[in-house]
Order: sequence, then structure tokens, then C-alpha cells
Amino acid sequence: MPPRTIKLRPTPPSAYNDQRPANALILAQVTELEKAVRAAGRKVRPMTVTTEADAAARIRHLNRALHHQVLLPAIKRRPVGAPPQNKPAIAAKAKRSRKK
Amino acid sequence: MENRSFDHMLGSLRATNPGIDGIPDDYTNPDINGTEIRPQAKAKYQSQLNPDPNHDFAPVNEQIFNGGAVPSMQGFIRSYYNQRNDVNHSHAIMYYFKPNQLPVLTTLATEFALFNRWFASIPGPTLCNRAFAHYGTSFGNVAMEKKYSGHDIKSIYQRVLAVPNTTTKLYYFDRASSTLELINLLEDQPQIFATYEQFLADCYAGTLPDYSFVEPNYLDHDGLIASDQHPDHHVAEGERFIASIYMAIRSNPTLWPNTALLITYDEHGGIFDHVPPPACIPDGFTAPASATGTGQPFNFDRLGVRVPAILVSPWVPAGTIVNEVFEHASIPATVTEWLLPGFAGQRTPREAAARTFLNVLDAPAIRDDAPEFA
Repeated sequence: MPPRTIKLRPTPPSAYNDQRPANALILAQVTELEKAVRAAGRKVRPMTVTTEADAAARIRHLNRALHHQVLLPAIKRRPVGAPPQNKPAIAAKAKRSRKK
Repeated sequence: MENRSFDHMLGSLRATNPGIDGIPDDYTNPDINGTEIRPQAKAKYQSQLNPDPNHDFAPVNEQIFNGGAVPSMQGFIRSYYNQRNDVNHSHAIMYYFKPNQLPVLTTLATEFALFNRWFASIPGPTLCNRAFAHYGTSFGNVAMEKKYSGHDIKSIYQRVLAVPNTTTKLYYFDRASSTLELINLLEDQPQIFATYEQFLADCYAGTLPDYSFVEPNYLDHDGLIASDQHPDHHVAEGERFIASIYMAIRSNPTLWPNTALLITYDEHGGIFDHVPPPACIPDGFTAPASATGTGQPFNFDRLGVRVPAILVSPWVPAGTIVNEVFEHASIPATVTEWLLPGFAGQRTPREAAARTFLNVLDAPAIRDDAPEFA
């Protein structure tokens, strides 16, 4: 016997409201991400988050900052203000050609 | 999933199967005028529980104890009334869904295993409860703190990754929705994160890790409807999300026989349930009175309100009802028992004592009658 198939109705488009005030869980998410980005050594400019659309934009921005600061491979990271470990080969070559 | 109680979502199933511990005929809650109010099948998908019912530690205490010394489950209406001072509106906290409103959840509950007594780990809000699913403890937190550092207890992901040839991933919906666990897990194990889209791809390719945790979409954005079912998000979209996870596994004939899917909710979200939470083994931490808001410290020695929990697998006999007590610490406890037998690392007494659910996968032969959603 073939398995029973249950058809699901689509969620009505009216369900979507990105201007809905962000709930406490979402606001906590924003606050904690801001703390994490600060802890990772990046400045965080204050921004008022009221709606879910505001929160989505803010969380996306903070996540991107966090990913760049923490999640990139260690080889690409260095302390803020520290000089690069190795000069790029192309720069060294240019310097040699200038000496000539 | 987010913020729905057992009786609110599945309590109506008692009418079709008395073995399901749904809403009893004589269960009521008094409103602010002293009128006894019955649960009613009037739940709507959206625009009903507004404002969001309070589910911080102190209000949940009120919902459970109603000012008394025993957990009577009589304070839900009174607690909700305090938010809007509207007697009629406070009755909405007693509304429940009919089975045909939730075809995904009720079908999976009746076709696979339904837990009659799966409780939130803490009578409190989201993040401390979710912490129990990842760590087996919230490290003494009863609120929305996220950063748990300075402890020797590793997350279930860290434990799994420490063992050669075992794999794990936490799938979040997308970067704008994010994961509620990012900060806890970020420093040590950034490689475990992936998106919902990747989950679907991994199911299709048959490359799911040994243990996966999947999070829904927490907010409306970029034309995408939130699927977490947190009030006031549309409950039907959460149904569709659960169906998509189930069908992604169900549709891969290699993956389906080797995968179990647990669907559960972080906490009850302030919505009624009739079963008093039981006492439990303390987890070794104490929340101070200043954190609980009740004037009393909390020793993590009793559970939160009951939530829906369903175990799906072709190895689960149809119509299974599990009557033992479970809670979110049962998740790391089960994964540890399954993937890390003989695990010698540190765990809380709570997790060590939590019941595991591998024994529910006990069908004599693999089933070929699992339903499909389209």
C-alpha cells in the first residue's frame, strides 16, 4: 500500500509582517551578538532595533562582523594594529625593481 | 521550536486516544473574577496571543503555583491578565488547537512516538532551557544569559567532535535569523555551524553528520515567514518547517532507515498545561533570589511546564506513547549514550540522571508505511 500523503495548505501571505515589533527573544539575540562582536575586538555603533526587519538587518550585520573576526581561518587573522607577518611577494618584487 | 505547551498543541488528541495525556474534562483555571474557565478549541495560528505571554521565571512560578505551595497549574489566566488587564483576553491563554489545524504535528504524534511527559528543564524562558539541550545545564542561569564560560562541562558538540570519526552540526535558518547558540559555541567550535539550506543539501546527498540540531527561522525578513511558532508568528509556517525537515530525511532511502528525528519545544511560552512539573535531580547550581524574581533562590530541583515532544523514525512502532519523565537534558544524555559510550568527561548530575530514549526505537522490523507531506 502506498504511503498516505497529506497535503499542506500554504501559509497565507498575510502572515508576513516584518514591521511586527521584535519579541524579547529576538532583542536578546541582538544584545548578545553585540556583546560578542565587542568581545571579538570590533566597535559596535549603537542602533535602535524596533521591528523584526530592523532586527534581521542588525543580526545579519553583526553575524557578518563576527564571522569576519572570529570564524575566518586563523591564518587570515592578526591582532588589530599588528603588521603582516610576511610581505606579499608582489610588493617585494616592486621594491626590488625600484632600487634598480 | 518555540513557546507552545503540550495541551495547547496536542491536548485535543485525548479525544481520539485516551492514552494521550491531553486536556482532562474537569480541568479549569479561575479568571480574575473567580469564574472557572475551561480550555477551549479556539486557538488561532496568529494574532491571538498578543502581547506575548510572559514566561520569565517569576510569572511561570505564578502560573504553576497560583500563589500556593503546591503546583496546581491554576495560575495561567491570572498571569496573562496581569499583562493587559483584560478579563476576556486573559481567557485566550486557555485556547488549544484542534487536530486538523495541526496536521503535521498531530500526524507525526500519532504515527510515531509521543512523549506524554516531556518537560522544559527550567520553569523559565528560552535560552536557559535551550542550554540544557546543549550542555545538560544552564550553569545556574534562569533567564536569557547566553555566555557560559569558566566551566568544565563541554557542550554535546564539543564532546562529539573530540572523538575521531564522529561528526555533528548545528543548522540555523540563515544569517539574519542566526542561531541562538552562536555565542556559546563560537569560540571553540565554529566549524559546526551551517544553514537550513545546507541541511536540505546534506539530507539530499546523504551526508548528514552523526548528530544534528536544526533551528527554525526566528523572524519575518526578506519575504520569509518566521517558522519558530513563537507568538505571534504563524503556527502553520512552523508546521511547514517541521514537514520540510521530516520530508528531507524521509525522501532519502539511505538516510531514512538510519535517522531518528526528535521534535520538541524549548518551553511552554506561558500557555496552559494541566500536568504539574515533577521534582528532579538538581544540576549542582543555584540561581540567587535576585535572579529568580520570586524572593527565593532556585536549586534547579524541579522541571518546567510540559511541552510537545515527538520521536520520528521507521524503527518506532506506530502509535507509541511514552509515559516516563523526560526533559531537555535527555538530549545530550541520549547522544552521549549513543555516540560516546563510556564517556568520562564532566556532566551535571541532572544530565547523568536524565532518561534516554534510544529504547523507543524498538519496532521489530523497519516500517514502510510512514506518511508523506506535500
